[in-house]
Amino acid sequence: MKLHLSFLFFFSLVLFSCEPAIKGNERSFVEGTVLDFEGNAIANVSVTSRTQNLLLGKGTTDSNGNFEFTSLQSRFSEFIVDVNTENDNSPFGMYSIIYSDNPLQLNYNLSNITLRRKASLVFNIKKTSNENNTLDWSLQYTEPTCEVYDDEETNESLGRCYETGSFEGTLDNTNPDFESEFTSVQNTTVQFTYQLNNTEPQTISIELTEATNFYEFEY
Amino acid sequence: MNSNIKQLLFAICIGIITNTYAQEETKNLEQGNDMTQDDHYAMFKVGYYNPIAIGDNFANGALEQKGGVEFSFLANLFETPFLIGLQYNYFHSDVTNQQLVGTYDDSEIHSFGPLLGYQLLFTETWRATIASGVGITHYQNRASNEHFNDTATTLWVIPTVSYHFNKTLGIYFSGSYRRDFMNIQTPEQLDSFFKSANYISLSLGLHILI
Repeated sequence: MKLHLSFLFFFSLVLFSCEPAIKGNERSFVEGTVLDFEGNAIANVSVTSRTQNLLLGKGTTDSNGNFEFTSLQSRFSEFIVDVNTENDNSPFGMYSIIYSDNPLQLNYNLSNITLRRKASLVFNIKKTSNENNTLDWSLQYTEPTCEVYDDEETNESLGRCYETGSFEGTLDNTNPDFESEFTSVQNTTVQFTYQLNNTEPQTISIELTEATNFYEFEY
Repeated sequence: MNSNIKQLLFAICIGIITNTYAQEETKNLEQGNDMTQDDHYAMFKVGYYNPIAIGDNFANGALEQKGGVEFSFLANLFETPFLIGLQYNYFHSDVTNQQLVGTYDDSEIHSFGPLLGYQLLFTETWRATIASGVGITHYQNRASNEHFNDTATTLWVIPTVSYHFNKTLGIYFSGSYRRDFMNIQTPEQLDSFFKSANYISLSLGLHILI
């Protein structure tokens, strides 16, 4: 009897583990419009649906910014629509909408999705002084990505939309210079804070008005 | 090496056909070529099956059909021209527009079901039958590392013409109509697109009488 039960358990386990991640006999419809911050339609933006890393559907916006496509359905409760995540060279940022409803819907109407323009900051710190200086610095900028849940009331704390990203470092005689490029959102401000030899911290605001912006700091 | 084997097989087939045809010729002359009493019990078809999707549906709009195979068996129903039997067919489809159907790559389509037929004409050399049936169909879809199945109920209407070299062996041609009534759940916008798949299927193969 024990042997039979063990066999039954093992057989059920094998059956369960072999169940396909994609549901048969089900399709959903995803539609919406992609606009820029000024309300203009954005054409040729890729829109995909997925669950975890499993791609379920994909489409592209037309000249009016509209997209619609058929998506497969997975057995997982999560359904994610990614906008503009497939093109790193796009001038616009990324947007993801996470549906965690259960059971899953068959129709996903995303209405208007606003993408903000990306801006890059080429940022340099150079040591020009011959003195033994130590520079503690940090950079706070707006991340060019947005992740929202379909139900903001219950999941608001889990959403991450154009959040503040930061980077910091310490420079001295052994490691005097820093150079890097950060991607942020156009028409936002980057806060550069520095502290020279543990003196009072100073903050400089850098406006990102262009697609590519440059800033150099010497100490 | 391969071409030698093919030539050998071809020669053997021609030999069998001409030999058996010669044996039947005397009998044929006696019986004439008009309608004759059918002294066979059943017929088998094995052949190449090439469905072509038609209409405004996912099979025509987003899939490209490749060839497959079919097998059917029809037995005489008592002494009447009616036939009863079974059919299986398989074909392959590649997904050409993932935006319309979802992100999967291809489908292996298997169908199986009973058939009811009627023998319209038979002489010693020519036969014409029409058969119809309702069966089950599985669309085994493949998406990178994942598999999933769509199912359907299939209706076939299959007129067939065959030419016989002898009492047993012949070739057949069939241009059939097929409709897969899909079990796919969709929102209203996609309902008519996924409701059914329609095909005109062309088949060619061996017809065996027993």
